[in-house]
Order: sequence, then structure tokens, then C-alpha cells
Amino acid sequence: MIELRDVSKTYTLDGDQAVEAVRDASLSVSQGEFVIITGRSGSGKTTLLNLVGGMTRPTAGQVLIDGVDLWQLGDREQSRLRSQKFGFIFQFPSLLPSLTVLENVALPAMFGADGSGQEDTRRSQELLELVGLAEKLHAYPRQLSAGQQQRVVVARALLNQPAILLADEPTSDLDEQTEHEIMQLLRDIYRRTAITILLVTHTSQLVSYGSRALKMAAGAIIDESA
Amino acid sequence: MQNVPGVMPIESPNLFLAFRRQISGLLGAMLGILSITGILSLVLIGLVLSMAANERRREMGVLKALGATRGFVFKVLVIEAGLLALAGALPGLALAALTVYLFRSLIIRGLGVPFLYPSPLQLLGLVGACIIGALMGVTLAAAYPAWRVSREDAAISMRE
Repeated sequence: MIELRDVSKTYTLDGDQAVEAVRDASLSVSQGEFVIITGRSGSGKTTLLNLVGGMTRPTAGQVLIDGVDLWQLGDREQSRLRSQKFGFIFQFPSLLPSLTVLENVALPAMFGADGSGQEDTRRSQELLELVGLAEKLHAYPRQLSAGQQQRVVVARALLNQPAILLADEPTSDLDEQTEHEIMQLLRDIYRRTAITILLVTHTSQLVSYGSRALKMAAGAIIDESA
Repeated sequence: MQNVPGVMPIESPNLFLAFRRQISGLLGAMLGILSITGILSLVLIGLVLSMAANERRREMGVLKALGATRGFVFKVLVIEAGLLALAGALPGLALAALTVYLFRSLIIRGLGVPFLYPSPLQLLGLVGACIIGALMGVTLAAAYPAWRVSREDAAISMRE
């Protein structure tokens, strides 16, 4: 389902200083896996996740999704694939502040869903019920706690029924209890559906939530334990 | 006139010429000032919009992650700039019209030239031209920052 072949990513900082964020990474993830990637800050975890999601172009190597090379696609096809195939959970607050919770969750439908507006709203409501925020439909992000906001992001990520969920440090800003609740929620979603999850974190204790664990250091995948 | 006792005609072709020159000079100076102001405004608006687009890079990165195309991101930023231009142009024009109406006699005294309102149709044309000018100027100023943000990798946009 997801395949990385000798992928490298080098960023150029301040004109000439090059930083190799990911180097020669090869990875194969099958459908229905819950992969947790751990590593210290700056080890290249987020860049690896961004490469999988087509959010940054690799300097070398190939990123294949269901056998299709992401970077052989044009912008329109790549955007369509991103909206239909992937759900994203970010580390930072990523809800649009001017939209209500319901509107935020329904936002991805604008780019990918085939359903009607009513169908999108119904599905958004269902997802908000799933994450335990049915009573917050018309609230604005600023009226929610960090944990509640992250639950809304989870609901938004699931709207287009993606096959792959990419989560970048989804619990880094949360307290221990909320972290556990979010991870439990992701595990529940994983068990209920055939979704593939790739989650990166610097907290190695979270490895127990996944079905497979990888470790990264200095831009390379250095350890794999099933 | 020569037949009227006590009245003597004076031929003065320079009288209107001098007046016309004065008006032309005034108009030229005003157009010059307007052109410089317009160019400076365009540069300033470009800088402001560039800063505004920069502020919204993360938001645009999120939209791209959700499936927005580069074209969509470009359109969002340019349309937003256009709406801002309209929101500025309409009250600006109303304020200008009100100022001219209220200070008409002062303008006439200050410039030393008669001042007539254009016909309603001409006035409408001028208002339309001003709005189109503002929209075109702002679109032009917004195009580059919007293009830059729309071309950027979503991952870069989200990294602040």
C-alpha cells in the first residue's frame, strides 16, 4: 500500500546550508497496519510522514501509494489522491478559527467527497459523535480545550473515509490523560475499520498502541520491531 | 460694440490661452502626483499582501493537505485581496465624494478655478473606473505572493 524506495530529503537553509532530514529510507507498509515511528526531535520522523503524504517532494527516491508514484502525478491528481486516500492529524492546532466545529470537520468534503452537502453534514455529525463531541457542533475552535480540538481534527481526518491516516505527534501538546484518550480513540478507529495508520511520536511508551514500531535517528530508519 | 458709445472692445487671444495653460498645468501636476501615489500604493499593497499571505502559510498548507490544489490556494488569496480592495474602494469613494461636496467652495477659492460636477453618467463611469482600477491594482499586487505560497510544499508552508 505504502512504499518508500531509497527516499532522501535534503532541505536547503539560508541559501547554501544543506540539511539531510531523511536519507535513503526504504519502507513498506501494508493495508491495516498501525505503524508507530519513534525517534528524537530532528530524527526525520515528521519529514518521513510528509514524504508519505506527498506534502514535500523527495530529493531522491520514490514514494509509491498503491503502486502509483506520487511525484509522477500532476498537481490536480496528487491533490485528489491526497483528499481521497489520506487523513492528516497535525501536531499544531490546525482547525480554521473562523469556522465552527461542524464546518471544520466538513471542510475536506470541499476537495474530495462525492456526497451532497447534506450527506457531508450528516457524516460530519456522525464523526463528531464518534469522537465524543456531538454537543459541540456549533462551537468555535477557541471555545474548545486542546484535547477537544485534537478530537475534532481526528473527525476531520476521517471525513473522506481515507485508507491511510497520517498522524504527526498528535498528542505532543496534551496532558497524559488526554494523550491516553486520543491514543485510545485512534486504536478504536483502527480496530473498527481497515484503516492504515502511520503515527510519529517522540514518546516511546506509545509504541504499545500500534501493531508495528519503527525507530528513526539522523534521518534513517534504524530499528524495526514487530 | 464699437457703435456703443463709451465702450471699446479689447482683443485678447492670450486671455483664454493663459487660463487653459493654468488648467492644463494643474491637471498635469495632479496626474503626476496621482501616478506616483498609485505606484507607491501598489508597492505598499504588494508588501502588505505578501505579509498577509505569509501569515496564512500554515492555513494554506493545511488546505493543501486536505486536498486543495495550487490553483485553489492561489484563487483564495487573490479573491480575498480583491474583496479587501472592494471593501476599501467603496467607502473610500464615498468619503472622497462627500469631501468634494462639503468643501466645494473652499476648493474653488483655493485653486482659483471654477469647479463643476461631471454629469451623473460621467460620475458613474469615474466610480466604475476607480473600482476596476483598485481591483486590478490589488490583484496585480497580490498575484506574486499568492503564487509563491501556492507553489510551496505543504510541509514547508506548515513549518513556521
